Amino acid sequence: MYYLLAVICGSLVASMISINGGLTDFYGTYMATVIIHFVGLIFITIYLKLKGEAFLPKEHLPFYYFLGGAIGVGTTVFNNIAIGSIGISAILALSLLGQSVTSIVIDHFGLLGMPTERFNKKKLIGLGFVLIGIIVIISS
Amino acid sequence: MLVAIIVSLLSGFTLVTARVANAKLAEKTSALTSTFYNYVVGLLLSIVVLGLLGHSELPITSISTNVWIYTGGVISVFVVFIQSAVAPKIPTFYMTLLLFVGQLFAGVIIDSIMAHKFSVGQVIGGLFVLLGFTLNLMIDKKASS
Repeated sequence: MYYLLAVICGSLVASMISINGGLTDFYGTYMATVIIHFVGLIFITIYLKLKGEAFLPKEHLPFYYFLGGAIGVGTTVFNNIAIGSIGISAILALSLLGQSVTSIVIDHFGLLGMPTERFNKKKLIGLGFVLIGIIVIISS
Repeated sequence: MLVAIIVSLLSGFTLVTARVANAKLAEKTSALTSTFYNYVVGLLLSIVVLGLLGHSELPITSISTNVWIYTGGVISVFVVFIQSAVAPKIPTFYMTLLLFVGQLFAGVIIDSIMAHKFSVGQVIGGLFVLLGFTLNLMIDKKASS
């Protein structure tokens, strides 16, 4: 059951990018990004209220703890720019490659407070397959 | 097309760094509260970005009454819920892989619907991408066990 939910979750991400593409067609990249965050905020606020969870952190936190949302704006803007010129499957495959390389770099150097895990060169084979797959997707 | 390729790669970079940052905040608060601030900060910054870069999009001349196109933000909240519910229940290896499977093949299906034709090439490409990530996830799995 949970395995199926994970697949559904992945397909929701693909649908979301497609739907946000429709919004971008109508309003433009940056207005669409504002609307997406506005709608998301309404729903998370309702959910938080229903759950009765606290809105404020228990302790004072430095500002960089809150930068996730700022970086996330980049993700939405980038997806909205790409949609229309390449397909959803290409966007997602490229994004997954970007995620994988970023994680490898973060782990290798132990950045952002993560434990260090050196890069295993065997992974280049896997990344090679991913790259071939992306080229096939984009050119088909 | 080159721009689309570059920004799509970059979206993977921002996705992971944002995820790490949000996870740090979630440690200090909760997954839900961290998501709440993700949208608060995201909304504020996206308004600033609209002001700086989106002059051509303003003012809005008409409003779309097609409710569907507004549901992206709702779905993104759902994705966070499902992920945080499922992640503790199944091994990370399968979680990551199944998320990839869902994304890639839903992507291929949506592309087929949009283009009104099914692309065998996309399926083959998707399988190669999946094979590559499976190999690397197996290396990670081995290293952590």
